[in-house]
Amino acid sequence: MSFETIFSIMDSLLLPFFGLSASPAKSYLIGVLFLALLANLIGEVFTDIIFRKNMEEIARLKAEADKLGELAMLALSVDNLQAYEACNRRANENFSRLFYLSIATSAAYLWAGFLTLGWLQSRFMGRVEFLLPFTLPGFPGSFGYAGAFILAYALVYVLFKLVKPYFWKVPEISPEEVENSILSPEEIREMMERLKKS
Amino acid sequence: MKNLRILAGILTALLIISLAAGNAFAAMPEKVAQAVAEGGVDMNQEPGFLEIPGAPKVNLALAFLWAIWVGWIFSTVGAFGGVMAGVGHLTVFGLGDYASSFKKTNPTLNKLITDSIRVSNQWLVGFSALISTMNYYKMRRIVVPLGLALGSGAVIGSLATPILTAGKVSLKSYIGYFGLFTLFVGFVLLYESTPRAQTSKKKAAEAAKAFEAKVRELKEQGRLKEIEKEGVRMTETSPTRMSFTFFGQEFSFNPLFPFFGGLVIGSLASLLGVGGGFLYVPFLTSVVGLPYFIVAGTSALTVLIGMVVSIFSYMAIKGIPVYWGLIGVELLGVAIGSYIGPKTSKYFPERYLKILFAILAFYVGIRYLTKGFLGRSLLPPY
Repeated sequence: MSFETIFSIMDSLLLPFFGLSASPAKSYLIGVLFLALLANLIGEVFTDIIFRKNMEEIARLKAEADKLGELAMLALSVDNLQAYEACNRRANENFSRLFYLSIATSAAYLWAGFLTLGWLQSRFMGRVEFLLPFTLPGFPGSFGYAGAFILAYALVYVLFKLVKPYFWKVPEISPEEVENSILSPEEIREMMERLKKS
Repeated sequence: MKNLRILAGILTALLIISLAAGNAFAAMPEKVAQAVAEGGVDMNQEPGFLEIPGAPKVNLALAFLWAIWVGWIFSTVGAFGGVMAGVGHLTVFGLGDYASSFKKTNPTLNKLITDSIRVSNQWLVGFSALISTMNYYKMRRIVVPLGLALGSGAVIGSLATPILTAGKVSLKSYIGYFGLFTLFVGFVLLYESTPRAQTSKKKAAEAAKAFEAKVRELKEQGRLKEIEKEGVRMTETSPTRMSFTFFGQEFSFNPLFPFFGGLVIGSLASLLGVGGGFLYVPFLTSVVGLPYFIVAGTSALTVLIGMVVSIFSYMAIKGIPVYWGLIGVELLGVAIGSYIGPKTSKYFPERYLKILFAILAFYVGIRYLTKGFLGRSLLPPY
């Protein structure tokens, strides 16, 4: 299968959304906004349904790293440098695993956005330009086909993040839920409060 | 409120990239056209990679399967996934050989494709950090002067590298540097699999467990609060020395250290087209000697800043084009690979995986290093 085959299928599904206004500029912006909505929705569905297990693993690793980080702080407070180094090292190992697993899982959200950009690139490259009413040093005075989409994608992304907690439950594990947890939620909260004040 | 600030930060980063993209894509057709016009391209052929006539049409099934492999490595071994992503672009998809074919006939096109590979690697490896980084900010603490020192070094490195090297690094040199980096990763993996490193890791786990038991005992006796002192407090801020106490223990560092660390790592990440995350964490913990609680947030922030600046410099300032669709297909593969990784990793002991990938890193590293710097690979395929 080639990109041309995929993009031809996308043509029949997506091009009608680029003809909803008599004005070419408005048509493009409406189409791009629809694409941004669709790409974000696909990203949300992929991440939340298919990759829920990964998100749970991420939440678990994060809670474990937090717990080890807190233990390292406690070790410091009693000048136990050996225990500090041990806990700190294990916290870092967990963080490293967490970092790469998070990056890979984030790809589940972003792929649809990039594929859409690929389609826009093949269909609108060099044909779309929105002039900006201002100029900034180092920045161009216009938006190309990709600039308009990335901005719409970002806006919809932020909107989804704000609205999501009301509709979707995001997996969350707190340090006290990790096996052999030693600090109660109140103790962790207190510790965080003290840290903020300091 | 904090979430809103995080989202506002992401939006700002994307806004900068959107503005950058405006320029990059206005320039893209000309940039490719200019390079193509220098010759060596059969204009009657069908367009392929970057819409260049006669360029390879990347096999989507192959790209997808390779990306699953990359995602699997990311979620099991870590940083080596980034190396394999680069190997995909350079060797597996045939882009390296295609760029090399213009070494004498059209050096501009050779360098343009090299730059596109570099920035594609960064999009693929680094950009996903934008979403994942958000999670760390919610909980982590950042020592602002440290973040500023490290971040300013990374910004300068990520800005200067594309400006100084875009259009100047031939594929041959890039492959050589990439090989050197891969060899370094191979040595790290090999060290981590040695009995010494394994014993040290085991000892650390035992010590952490023993301390946990001690804290549990104190807690049961109601004496936990006695041992806690205070959190982070800056005690000295000067151009050559910064000190802070962290739970009663004093830490100090020369801000020039993280600045130059950020500069070197940011430049390397930008030159090679990698994220650099796995270099920041050991640098901050082992070289600067800082605790995890501070390192995590600071390094994640620096990776993000460095990557946004580097991509902006390549695309907006130097007008380097990217083949978006290929990155989309690869991201889907990476995501699926990362899903399979945790489920299958229990069948492969971590130590043996590290040995296996160390061998692979040596093979790829020696091959690229010799091909890049000596002109001929010492290992097959030659």
